[in-house]
Amino acid sequence: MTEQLAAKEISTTVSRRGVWTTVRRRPQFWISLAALILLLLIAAVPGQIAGFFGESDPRVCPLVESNQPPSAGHPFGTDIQGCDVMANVLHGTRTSLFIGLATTSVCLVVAVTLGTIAGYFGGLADRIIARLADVILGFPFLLGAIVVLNSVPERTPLILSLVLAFFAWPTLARLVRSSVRSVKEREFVQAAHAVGFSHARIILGHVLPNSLAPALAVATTMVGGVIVAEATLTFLGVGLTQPSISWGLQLSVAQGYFQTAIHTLIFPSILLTATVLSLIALGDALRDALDPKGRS
Amino acid sequence: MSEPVLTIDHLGVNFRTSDGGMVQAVADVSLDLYDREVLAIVGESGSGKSVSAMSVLGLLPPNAETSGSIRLGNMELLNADESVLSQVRGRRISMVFQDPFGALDPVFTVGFQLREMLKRHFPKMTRAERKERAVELLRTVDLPEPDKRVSSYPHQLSGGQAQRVVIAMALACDPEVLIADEPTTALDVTVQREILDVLMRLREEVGVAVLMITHDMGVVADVADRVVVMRHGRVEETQGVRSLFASPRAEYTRELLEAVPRLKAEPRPTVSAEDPVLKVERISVEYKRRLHTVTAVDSASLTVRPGEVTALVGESGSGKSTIGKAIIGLAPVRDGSIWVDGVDAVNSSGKELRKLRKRIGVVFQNPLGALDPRLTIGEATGEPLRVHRKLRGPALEAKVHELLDSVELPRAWAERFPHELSGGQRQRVSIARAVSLDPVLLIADEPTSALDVSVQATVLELFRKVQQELRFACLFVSHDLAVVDELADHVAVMHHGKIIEHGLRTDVLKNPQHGYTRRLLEAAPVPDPVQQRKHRLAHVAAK
Repeated sequence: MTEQLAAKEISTTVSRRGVWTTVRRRPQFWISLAALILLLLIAAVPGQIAGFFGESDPRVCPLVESNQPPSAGHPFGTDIQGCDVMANVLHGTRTSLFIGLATTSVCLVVAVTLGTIAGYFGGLADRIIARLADVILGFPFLLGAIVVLNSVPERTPLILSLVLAFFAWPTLARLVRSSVRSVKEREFVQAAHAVGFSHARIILGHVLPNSLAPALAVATTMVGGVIVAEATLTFLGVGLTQPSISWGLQLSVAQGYFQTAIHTLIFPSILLTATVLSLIALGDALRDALDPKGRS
Repeated sequence: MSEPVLTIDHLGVNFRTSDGGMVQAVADVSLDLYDREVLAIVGESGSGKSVSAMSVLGLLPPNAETSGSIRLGNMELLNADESVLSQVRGRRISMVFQDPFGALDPVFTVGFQLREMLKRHFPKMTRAERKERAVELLRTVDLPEPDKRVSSYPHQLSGGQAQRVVIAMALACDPEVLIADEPTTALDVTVQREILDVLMRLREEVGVAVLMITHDMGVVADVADRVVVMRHGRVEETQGVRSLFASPRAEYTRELLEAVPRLKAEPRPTVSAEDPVLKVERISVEYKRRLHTVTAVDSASLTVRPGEVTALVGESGSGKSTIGKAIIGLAPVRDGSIWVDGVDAVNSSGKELRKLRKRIGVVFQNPLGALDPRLTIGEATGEPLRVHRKLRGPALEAKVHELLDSVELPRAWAERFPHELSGGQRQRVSIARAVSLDPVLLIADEPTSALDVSVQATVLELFRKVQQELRFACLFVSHDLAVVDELADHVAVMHHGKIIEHGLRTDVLKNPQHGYTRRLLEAAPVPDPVQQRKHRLAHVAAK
């Protein structure tokens, strides 16, 4: 009746809107992508890029130039030791980005795996994973990190990421678990069971794609948190050791000179903020494009 | 006639959308509501009936723009001050919503919520008076043991009892107008009848005018005095209920009345003599809750033969859906056996069960939930073929097109996503997907109860056509006896987890043996005012 008539009217205007065509039209996608590529470029060749603007070596620190505001030779100024802030910030990008991204990815993999198992299968697996998460959440992060980091032979960025990931996955896993549980109850999942699909196909094909969005949103904001957490650990003397260079290290040192040398605090912060913002923006754009409802 | 209590005059409502456009929800709606009258607004989803009612109380979202006028006596309500409206809301006009549990706060007792209402509107009442009045109100709506129920929480009440409490709250301040937005849609037919009885009695005793919003022509025939038919935000026609059913003026009303399924129990040639495809033998299903077990199905048996539709009828909680779930292995069977096409569906290995499920199609109730929002229509329809038949490329596409043809959807729609389709169209996709593997058995769980009547009619027609073409056996789970009458060959009636009656459709519907079946048949309102009024009189007299 009326319904089929309507169907015939609209059917001529159907157009294909894939993920790429949607994402291509969004400036948010291009801006955040450009920012991230720039950051990766800096992480790859920090010396050369710093060289364009002045001092290329972060370890050249003439004490006479201590605590200078931004000037021609030092666009970001110098810190209390007389080292070029720009060279330091650019050289710190590699470590900080690595720690941020590595920690978050490890977290995400662990959280999605365990959260999905707990949420989808429930029962004993759920109880074990949930209790495990509770124990880790209940453990004081700093105390735990100090104990673990003091007992490893060498504190490399990788070790640090693993430790941070170990303490950060439970929150994410809980999020995945609850959204998997709600998707599991939806009728299309039951319909998939009813046509005899295997668990693996149902999980990978139907449950996960529909339950990842909240976890990914939290994960993008987590990157910034992790970079700062590394700073906390380093500040307490259990993180990266001198002469490592990272944004976290710079931020924690700069806190002390907040009133006398504010530029040493501002510039690492700007890069940290840019990283987090562009990750969030990219995540948003991709999420909207991957959701069929956001594509019209 | 006397002055109307409530007048809606050339009401228009537009919604501003986020991209700056305007969507017209209601255009030029005029109606009068007189004292002690039941005026029904009838329409399908999106017809603007709820929006019209909401604008009376100023409950529209902030992006709505209104025009026209709504008067209660001499008071203008449209765009009135919040202070004016708060004097009217609950005091002179009150509202009953569809879902009683959504309307009651779960953390307070019903007595507390009633007393709160009284405290707000009658600050001079003493505590003892309020207490007494709350019990009295519950008594007015026929809630059993009102002095005890007053201290129970919403979750301790049944749906019907909760709706009575909501009505009691609505009546707390002796309003002049009661707006009831689908007050019985979420309830079973036997409960629906009780709630309608209460409303009718209150209209006489308390003297309230009722503006009833509904999509159910049976309810309209049962209780309405006059009817406003709406479509696309406009009034199609306004008539007295008898003349509307006898001689509808608008073309749309005629279509609507034709689409309403009616229980006739006329004989149809059917009956197959082949061996049954589905044999359910004395199965019991138990769900384990933390401290106790709940028996959802208690020793139920039934059979379905090839090419035959067996309907499983019952009210909510009767266990009818659970039987469907048990057949596809989604419910824990404690006892008994299920045979589908000669295969044991309870005790086989996981691999065999998966193989068996390829031969069972399922159509669910909720047309939005049954399709993965991330798959296009084509992907969803073709997925079982891709996985089980390993079809790829052009072969898959051809088969998908064939399936879309069979459910009368345009082929180009394979590219669309579920949210771009209407409820009826989504349900067609569900049917296409369910029959994609040529099932021997199809389980349809209330496939049309979430749809509008005219859409329901087309989907049922399609369903019958597909069923006759493919000749699968079908277990059709439904609460609607009229729909069952149109489709089924056999009917099984369930009550409290037991099958209490099972037989040929004409036998069960015309000559029910069990008392509960008779009650069920009586409670379903007939979409014919003359006949239904006779029913009602007989029923009230029997009480």
